[in-house]
Parts: sequence; C-alpha cells; structure tokens
Amino acid sequence: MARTIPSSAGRAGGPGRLHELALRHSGIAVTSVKEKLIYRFDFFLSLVITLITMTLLSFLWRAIYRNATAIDLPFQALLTYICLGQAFSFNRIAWPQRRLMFRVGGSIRSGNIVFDLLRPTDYQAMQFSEVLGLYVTEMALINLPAYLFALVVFGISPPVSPVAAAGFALALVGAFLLAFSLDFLLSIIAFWTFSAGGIIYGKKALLDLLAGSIVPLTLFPDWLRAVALVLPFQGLGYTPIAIYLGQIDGAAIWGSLLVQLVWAAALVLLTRLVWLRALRRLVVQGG
Amino acid sequence: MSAIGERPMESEAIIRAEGLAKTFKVLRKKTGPLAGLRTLFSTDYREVRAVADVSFAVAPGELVGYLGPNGAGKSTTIKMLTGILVPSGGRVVVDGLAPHRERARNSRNIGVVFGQRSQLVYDLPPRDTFELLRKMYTVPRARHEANLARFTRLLALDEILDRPVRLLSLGERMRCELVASLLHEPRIIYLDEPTIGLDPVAKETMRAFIRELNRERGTTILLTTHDLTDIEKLCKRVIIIDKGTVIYDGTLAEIKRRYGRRRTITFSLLDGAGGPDGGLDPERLAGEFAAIGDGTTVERREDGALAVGFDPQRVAVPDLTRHIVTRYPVADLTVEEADIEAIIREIYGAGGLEVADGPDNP
Ligand SMILES: Nc1ncnc2c1ncn2[C@@H]1O[C@H](COP(=O)(O)OP(=O)(O)O)[C@@H](O)[C@H]1O
Ligand SMILES: [Mg+2]
Repeated sequence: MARTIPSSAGRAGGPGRLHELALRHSGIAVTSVKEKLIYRFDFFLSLVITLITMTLLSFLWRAIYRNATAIDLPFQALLTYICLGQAFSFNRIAWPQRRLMFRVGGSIRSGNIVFDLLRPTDYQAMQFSEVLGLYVTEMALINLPAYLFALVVFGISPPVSPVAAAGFALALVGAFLLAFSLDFLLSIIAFWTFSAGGIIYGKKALLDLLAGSIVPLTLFPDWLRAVALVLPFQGLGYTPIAIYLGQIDGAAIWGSLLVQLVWAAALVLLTRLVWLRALRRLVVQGG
Repeated sequence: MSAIGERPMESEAIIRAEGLAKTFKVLRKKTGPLAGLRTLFSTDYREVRAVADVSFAVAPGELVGYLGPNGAGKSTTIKMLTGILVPSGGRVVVDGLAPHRERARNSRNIGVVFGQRSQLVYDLPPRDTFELLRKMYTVPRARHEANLARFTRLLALDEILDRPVRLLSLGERMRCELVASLLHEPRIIYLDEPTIGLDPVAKETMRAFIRELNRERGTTILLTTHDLTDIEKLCKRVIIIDKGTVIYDGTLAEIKRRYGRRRTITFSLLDGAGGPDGGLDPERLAGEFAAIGDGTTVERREDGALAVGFDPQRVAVPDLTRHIVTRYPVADLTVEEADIEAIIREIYGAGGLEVADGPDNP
C-alpha cells in the first residue's frame, strides 16, 4: 500500500544540496518577478516618475547654482550625483520596496503564511530571493534606462575610473542588503502596529534626507552630516554615488564598503532576531 | 469505545497524537486613550483552549474523517500535525518526526489544503505555482510532468491551468489547491475543509479524486469537515471532536447506527396562510405527525419555518412529505440529513459523555 518516497526528496548532500538551493531560490525569484511583471505599467510609471524627478531636481539645482557662489562642488559633479541618486534609488515606492510590506504582514493577517512556513526552506531566505528578483528587474527596467537617459540627455559623467565603477557596483550590492533588511524589519513593525502605509511614507521621507541622494551629504550642515555619517542609511545613496564620483577613492573605497557591509551584516542579524521572535510568537501563540 | 480492533497498533501508526493540547494566549484589547499602543505592550492575556485533549493513531493508507462543529479545534489540531503550531501539551509523531521540531523535514512528507486559505500565486496561472513547487521540492521534471498530466486528467484542469488564479471559480481554485499539495508526492495529506463553500458538482469531483488518491496511491489522508456527506462518501473511520476533546473514534457505520438516523423536514408556508400568528402551532403539529410515526419533534425556527425531526426507520420520508404538502399551503420544503451539529447534540443528549471542562492545564 504505502509507496516509497521519491528519491529526489532531500537526499543529496554537498554539491547536490547547493544545486537544490539554487534551483529553489531561482524559482522563488523568477515567480515573484513574473507575478509583478503583470503590473508592467507600474514599472513603466516608476521609470517615468524617476525621469521627471531627475529633471525637476536638475532644474532646481541649476537655479541654485546660478545664484550661489559659495558651493565648492562643481556643477557637473553635482548634476551627476543627483541623477545617480534618482537612477539608482533604493527609496522609490515601487514593487521591490512595497513587496515585503504587503507580503509579510498581509500573509500573517490572512493566515496564508502557514503555507510559507510549510516550505522546506527558511521564510526569510524566501523573502530575500523574492525581493532580490524584484530589485534585479528594477535594475533592468528602471535604473539602467534612467541612467542611460541621464548620460545622453543631461550629459552626466561616467565613473571616474574602472576601480570607481567596480566599487560602485559592489556598493549597490551592499545597499541592496541594507534595503532588504530595513524593509523586512519595517514590515514586521508594520504588522504589529497595523500601519503599513504610514511606515512606507515615513521611511521614504527619512531616507530621502539621510541617504543623501537628493541633497549630497557634503552640502549638509556639519551637525546633520555628522548624524548621517554615523547612521546606516548613507549606504543606500551617498556611499555608492561618492565612490562613482571619486569623492571617496583609493583605500577609502574599501573603508566605506566595509562600513556599509558591517551595517548590512548588523541589520541582517537584527532582522533575523526580530523575525525569529515573530516566528516564535506565530508558532507558539498562533499569530 | 467501539471499533478498538480497527485502530492501528501503536507501532504501525504513521500519525500519532497523545494527549495533544493547545492553549492560545490572546491579548485582552485595551479601550480608552492610546488603546492600540497600550495593547501592544500589554501582558494582560486571556487563555483560549482550542485543543484540550486529543489522542489518536492513524495507520498508513487510512482515510480518516476528523469531524466537529465550528471552533471544535480541528484546524488547530491539523496545524500541530504539520508543525506550524507548537503544542502546549502532549505529543505528536508523524512518520517518525516531531513536526514542530523538524518542520522542514516533515514538510516533505506531508501535503496540506486549507479550504479557507490559498497557496496559489494569485496573479499568475496555477501552472506557475506548480512549477515553483517543483523547484521548491526538487521534483525531477519528467516526474512532475507525469504527475501534472495525471492530475489534469482526473480533475479536468486543461482549461484552468493557464488562467490566472484570480479569475478561477472557488471550485476550480480548490482543485488546483489540491494539486499544489500533492506535487511533491507526500505520503500524508491533511485536508482541512476542502469542500467548504463548493457546489454539489464541485464537491463530488473533489471527493472522487480524494478517494482515488487514497485507493490507488495508498496516501494516508486526514480529512476535516463539518459536511457529513463528505465523510459518508469517503471515510470508514471518523474521529469526532468537540470543545477540543475527542468524543468519538470509530466507524461511520457505528455512529450512524447509534446517532445519525434522524432527518429533518423543514417547510415554510405561503404568505398569509397558516393562522393568526402567521404560522401553525408546533405543539398541535407534533401531535398530528406523531400519528404517522413515533418520535417526531416539531420546532419553529427563527425565520418562521417549521422543522420536523423524525426517524426515517419509523416514519417514511414520502409519507411525511405527502402529508405536509397535501394539508398545508407549502411555499418551500427541504429534507435534510442530520448534520454533524445535530449528531453531536444527540451524542450529548444520550448523556454518555462528559461535556464539562476537563482538568485544567497549567
Ligand atoms: N491563533 C489563535 N488565537 C486565538 N484563538 C484561536 C486561534 N486559532 C484558533 N483559535 C480558537 O480556537 C478554537 C478552535 O479553533 P479551530 O481549531 O480553528 O476550530 P475548527 O477548525 O474546528 O473550526 C476556536 O475557538 C478559535 O477561535
Ligand atoms: Mg477550521
């Protein structure tokens, strides 16, 4: 009567296990992307909003520069900085950022989280792959097109050196880790406080300031710059952009990547602890 | 109780629960200023005992019905069997594992359908969820295709597989939920109210499939429902729980012989007919129907309809129906089987079982 279990089930070790992991998480990422590509128009709209904001900010700064003489940042550098801040923003209110807010709290509340908890893989790792898929999609459909637009239309500068380009790319990976952890943390807080909408917009306002992607940190008043530089949020905007522009260069690149990485690791750890606590509450108390 | 002999020996059980209990702590809601915030930091708990004392053993290949009225603790039991809830008392062993301690390993052995929840990706066609599950459980592609082809045939899914889930009817969706729970070829399936809200045709499709799964594949199935027809068509053995305690564990034949005989005819009268208070006097009617056969009861429902309870072995359904429609201006009439609620009421009515709160769990 009873059949034998398929030999495929969780048997392999070593490289087989790695292959399993890759298959599983690519599946998760691809499905989340497929799901959100249904809302293609959303991505398109995000791109348009990004381009409009970019254009607006460039007009604004152009006007400021015409009347100000005391800014010691050349206009070309500033323009590049601003456009990069918009093109590679981790602070849009688009699918990658909204995803967790809707998903974590929503599935706990609806009870559908039971299925996620039943998968033979870690819940947080699953969410990570979903969001990673969305960020990669955003990179392809919004960030890179917006960047090309800025290069061609606004004539922004290319990376100052190949090292700067590589550092920039690495810093974007670090920024993704920061963004994921932050959003995961906030989505659990959103669940406990029932205020996802408020938290999404609050976070956006705070990060627009502290990531330093709309106003460069170098132009902040001293005290605010000091505050911004001890917080992790600079890693979402200032760090990658300053490396691109050569404002951070040489050995300092490694230093700032390290700071970013330490922050990312700390936040990943913190989210992990918060999640394990939330999970305990879920499985012990039932929600 | 009855049917001891049919219960699996301890050693061969694939699912075993012993003295299983679950008490939820629910925060008491604060009222007044800053209620939300104060609730968040409150330690003022109220205890809800969802499962008080549940013990049973299921042998490999069995198809067991797990019955009980709403709030009896069925879903909570299932959640403990899957490992997504930690029991507050007792022991569970499923295929040699303690589910809540080895949730991931256990998850490879089990498939779950929760009738009121969904594991399908809402905006995508079911096929995409199925493909995701294939990767999730690393099922070889050929094997996956073969399984899917078989399920597609048995559940008539051709039309549905490529339509977004949000466009599916409840019945279509539930068929896909069933498939989603089976793609990794689990040995054990928990079906928690899989037919809830479905129309009769859809229910029948589900039942036929569940039966075939159990017979052809020897899959062990624990089926939760409060639809007695599901049980009748599928299960030899039923476990009934109420208020978190097992009140019956035995064959369906036995329970029907003992408790489930009664039927109910419900009818309402045409507007304006039936006397001064807009209806007939139940007591007078009871006397009238008693003449047709012993043991009939009549009560008036809240909506004004009259419910006649009777024992079909003593009163023939056609006789009673004919009597009613020829004598009264009937607007609407239905014959109902005793539902599980009625049976449980009867089991208690028989007085053979303690309903009082059990011993307090710390
Ligand atoms: N997470 C929870 N927190 C508090 N009470 C719960 C929770 N889940 C279920 N209950 C309560 O436990 C009891 C049993 O629920 P459940 O197992 O869902 O019953 P059934 O599935 O038999 O209808 C109900 O009174 C229900 O309100
Ligand atoms: Mg239930």
